Amino acid sequence: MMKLSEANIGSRCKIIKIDVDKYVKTRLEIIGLTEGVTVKLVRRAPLGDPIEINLRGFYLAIRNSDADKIQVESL
Amino acid sequence: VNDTIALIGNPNCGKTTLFNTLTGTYRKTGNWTGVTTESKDGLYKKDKRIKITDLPGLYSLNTKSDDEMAVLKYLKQTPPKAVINVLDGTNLERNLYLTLELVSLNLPTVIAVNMYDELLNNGIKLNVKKLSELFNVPVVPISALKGLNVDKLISVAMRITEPLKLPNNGSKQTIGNGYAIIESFIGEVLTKTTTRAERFTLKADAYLTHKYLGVPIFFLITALTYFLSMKIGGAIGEVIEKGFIVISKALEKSLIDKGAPTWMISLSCGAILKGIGTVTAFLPQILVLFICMAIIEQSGYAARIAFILDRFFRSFGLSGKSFIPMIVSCGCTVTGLMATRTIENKNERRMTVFLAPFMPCGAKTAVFGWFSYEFFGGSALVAASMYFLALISVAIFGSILKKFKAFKTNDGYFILEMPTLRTPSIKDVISTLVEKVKDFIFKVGSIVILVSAALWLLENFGFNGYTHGRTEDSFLFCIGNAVKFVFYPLGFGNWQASVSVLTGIFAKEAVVETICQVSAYPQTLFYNKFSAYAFMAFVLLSPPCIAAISTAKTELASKKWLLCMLMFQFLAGYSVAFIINAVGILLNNVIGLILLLILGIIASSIKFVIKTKGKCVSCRACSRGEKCQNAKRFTT
Repeated sequence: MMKLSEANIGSRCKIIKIDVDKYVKTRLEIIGLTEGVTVKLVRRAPLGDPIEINLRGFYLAIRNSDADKIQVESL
Repeated sequence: VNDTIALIGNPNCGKTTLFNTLTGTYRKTGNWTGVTTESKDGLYKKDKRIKITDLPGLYSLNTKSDDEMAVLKYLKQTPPKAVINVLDGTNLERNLYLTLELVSLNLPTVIAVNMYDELLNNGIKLNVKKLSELFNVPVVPISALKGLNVDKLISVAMRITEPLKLPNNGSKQTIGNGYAIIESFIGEVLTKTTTRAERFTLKADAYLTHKYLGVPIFFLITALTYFLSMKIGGAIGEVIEKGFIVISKALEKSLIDKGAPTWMISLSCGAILKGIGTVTAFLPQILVLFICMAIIEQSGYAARIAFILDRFFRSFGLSGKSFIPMIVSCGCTVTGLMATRTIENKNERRMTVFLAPFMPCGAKTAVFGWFSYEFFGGSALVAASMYFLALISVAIFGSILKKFKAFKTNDGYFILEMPTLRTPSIKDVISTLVEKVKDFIFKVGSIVILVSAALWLLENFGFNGYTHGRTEDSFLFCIGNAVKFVFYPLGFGNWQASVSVLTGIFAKEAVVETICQVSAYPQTLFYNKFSAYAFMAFVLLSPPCIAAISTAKTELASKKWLLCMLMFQFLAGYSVAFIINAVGILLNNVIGLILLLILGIIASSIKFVIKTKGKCVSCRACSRGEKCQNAKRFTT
């Protein structure tokens, strides 16, 4: 178990637990970032934040502060 | 109109492109989230009895956000005959989630899988029959851009009566369950391989958002935009200006030959025709800027800008999301302000409405173009520098606004879809241009002619009637002189420049129009480059035109906040112009230097007072101290 924000660029991992507040969690879930989905960390922005992830066939940018609260399992 | 068909789907799935194809209109499109923020009706061009409604893009119907509630309210109050659920075929898994939620609407629905041409080109197989069986509704694969199957889609939509059904008898209690239903069948519906466009995007993004190259590329693209606008647009503009001079002379001659009175010649040639000519000369420049902006938006690069700059803007209390309206504002502030609707956080939205008008819109760029030709030898860098001055001002004034409770935002929440990069469609770029030209003709036909005529009246008449060419007796002279004292500290305290600033309220193009009309030698109005630059900065940052102000009023939904915004923008423009002019004076004499030093001391002491007032020990971002939720995070 580790944080999504700590994953290596290019690595795949499975979302275990999303521990952000309920509103943000719903926002993440409806766009497809649900517990159990496999994501790939694509890149970090030039200033280190936000990060871009690949899931369900599309690309999504989220902030480190949110990714910090997402527990993942490396695949 | 007999029947209504509503288009509903995720953001950036191509609803508006479909709407434009169906209705033959030119609604603004873009390759990123949230370009459409208001529902719009249009008539199907092949059968005017059918009304098509384009709804804002949604990811869900059940999270009770403002835009979702608006769509739900609309569907409840005026239930359409049928709903077309538009899906992006290249992003089907995510797009189908909304389809699951549409089941609860219980409205007759047809599913349209958009970008079918791209699926075909990449050898991706879509099982239309299977998808249709799963949801118990017809499925039509379409290409909104190329017009493939769109008429078939409408004829299918007009016949259907069946609502959607949940596939596989599943139950959708949680969002996770919903996605599990989709996962259970997606493999049978679509063979998933990456498309060529996706592979290209991955490669291009490696440079566009590169750790070291990303930011320089952004600066380069911006500078290039203004360079093209100034050079190409400027060159065509010069030809137009010369053309107008020829027309004006010919008209003047024929009027004299016919024995027309002097006032008539001066009004028609000296005022109205000259005004139209001055403003029309900017049209090519504005159009080139709009082409560049359309390419940036429709290629999907705009989302990359938000991605690159999010970290930078966050330190000023803004997110990449509020940067989207700012990029749009570079075309037109009105559309930029409308784009603030995608920001969910009310405080952040308010802040964006306050700050987005700083960005140089097409009309302001025209003013800067004129100034850079008159004072800076036609340098495109001067025009581009205004863009960066706007960014810096957003940063500085954003961090000032952040100190106030009404603008404080929760840190951290930012979700932005990164769209696949696409070649901008020529049709869409042209349609943007057509809209802009129409807009411009309307502006010239109404505001510019009115302003010219009004200026002429005010310039030629005074308290003693007709001035016989003595400007000192005119109303305009009185008005300008009454307000010019305000602008003394900014370096352009003369009546001509003051009047120009005032007419800028109607339309920013009118600023240059006025300067040219009231002064034969505009260069003499500014004593050096600094005061000219200060004037440009004031035009950039001071309150926008009347159209943008009324949009801001709608977005803020409060007269009090609108007043605050106007005062804030005036003060922002005033202080920045003051500083620029002061630097100019400083470089010229000693008294200025001392004055500036004193001001610097005052400013830094104010900053010191603000900084040391009750800050949280742990993160210094707020005044809640130990009670702050984030305190723990920062102390560990």
